[in-house]
Amino acid sequence: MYPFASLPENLIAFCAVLRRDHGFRIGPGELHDAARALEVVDLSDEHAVRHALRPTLSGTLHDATVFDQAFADFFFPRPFGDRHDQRPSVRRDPESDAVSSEERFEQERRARSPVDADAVDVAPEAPDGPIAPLETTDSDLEEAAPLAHDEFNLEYLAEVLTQYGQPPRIVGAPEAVIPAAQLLPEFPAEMVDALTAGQIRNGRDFRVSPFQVRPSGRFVKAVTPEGQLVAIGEARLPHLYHPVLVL
Amino acid sequence: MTDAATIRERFRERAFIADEAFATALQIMLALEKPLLIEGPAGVGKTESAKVLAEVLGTRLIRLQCYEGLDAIAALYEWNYPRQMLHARLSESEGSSLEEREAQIFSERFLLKRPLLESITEAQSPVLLIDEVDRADEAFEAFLLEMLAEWQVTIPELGTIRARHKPHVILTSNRTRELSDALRRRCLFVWLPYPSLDQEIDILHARVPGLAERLAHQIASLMQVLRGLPLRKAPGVAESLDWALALMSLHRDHLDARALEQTLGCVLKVHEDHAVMNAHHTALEPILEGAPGALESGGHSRETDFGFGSVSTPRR
Repeated sequence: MYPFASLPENLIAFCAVLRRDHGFRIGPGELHDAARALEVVDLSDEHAVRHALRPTLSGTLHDATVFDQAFADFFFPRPFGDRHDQRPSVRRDPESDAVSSEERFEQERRARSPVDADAVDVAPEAPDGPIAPLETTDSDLEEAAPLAHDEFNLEYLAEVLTQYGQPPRIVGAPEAVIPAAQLLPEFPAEMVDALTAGQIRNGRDFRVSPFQVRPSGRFVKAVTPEGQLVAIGEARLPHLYHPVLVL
Repeated sequence: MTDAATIRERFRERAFIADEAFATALQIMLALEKPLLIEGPAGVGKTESAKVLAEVLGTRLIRLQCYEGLDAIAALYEWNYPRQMLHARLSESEGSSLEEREAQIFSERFLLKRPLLESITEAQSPVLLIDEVDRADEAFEAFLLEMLAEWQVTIPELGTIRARHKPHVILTSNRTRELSDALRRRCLFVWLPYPSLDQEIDILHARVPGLAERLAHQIASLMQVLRGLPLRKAPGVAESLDWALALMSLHRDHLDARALEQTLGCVLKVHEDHAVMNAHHTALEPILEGAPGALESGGHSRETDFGFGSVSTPRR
């Protein structure tokens, strides 16, 4: 249930997140205190752990204020479909004519997977917001190789998006294909070796480098060193992604 | 005194309502033997928590009240100069050597222990409260840092005195000045905010036995509103307790506009704040008018009081 196997690893990773994302000043001394503090509380009690770590790791009011949220984000990342509360602010903004590719991907994924039938019912809010024209340029099309296994079919994508009443404006021929690696520029790419790529194709979860991918990112692309897209992973735990779309 | 739940219970027995976060912080502080820095607005019980902790642990509370200009001498030790003089005079005729007389004069008998020295010479770990550390200057803070790290004091005439038992240290700060990073790093940190509405009602009942349920609710609600106003000096828990006692002594079982006027001095301590409150009176009116008593023109209300002055409400 925690991101890493052992308690010290989790603690160290959590401290790294606090330092990097929230400006906590945590040195070895604080880390040591935190580890000792965990020895005296009931580890099965989430509140106790939180209350034990807060005084040891935070040093200012600001630290103490943001601590709880950071703790929840790290140890209890938001489950699926729990982001509705955040989305409307993006959607209802009439100024923004760009929906992030993360959301576009989300819509597509829902439409595809039959288990998510409920989610599709919820989705009618989608037509409210404009869906960005796919940013396919001529140069993309020129670069496009003949249909390969790591490429999205634009026609298919158009079909999915049309289901939401928003046929995408596609520049160029409808049957054109573009490299998938370029289609979703907002997803961070994680390089995986051949062995891991094989495992991912078989549905195994994969880890990403905590220094490259922020734990808040929902999707990552798994890419081979040659630049082939292997899969799109969805965050299950910080730094641990489950392939939801294998190519 | 091992886990947070026990600490909460012991504190509650002494009418101090500690939430889980604060109790756990105390538990960690005791287990790690590290100083605990408590920050928060004035009057939320920072100082009180140290007193209660000493009671709960069954040890002495040694308090060092910080102020601008406090120096190491006043915090550590002084020689009792008049007594030394007197002793020197009286022993003049004894014919002892100069060295002997010097040794007599500079012995522990003539040492005036100030809080920090006192705290390390106790037989049992005391609770050392370093109150309002933000009011002392940075030089003192640096000295304090050294003290908290070493737990020893060197007196040139007597030698080095080491702590037999490390005191449990609680530092409080009202944030009038930003404390140094070094001091923060030496301490565990806990922020003690104003209590929530329910917590405050809880505190009122615990500290003012016999307070009518409705009055407690009104006081706590009004406090929540007042703390949201741009006051010079926002009322703390200490003020709500004073206020509750004042209202009780006036035999009030509810708050109306008149009672508020009579007892406003318990709540707002700066004259300008009265004007601020009057400017925002619309925010207060729902709480005052919500009292049935205000409509019944002072009659005793049924749910709190059967005409016996007050009823004791069960502690929750």
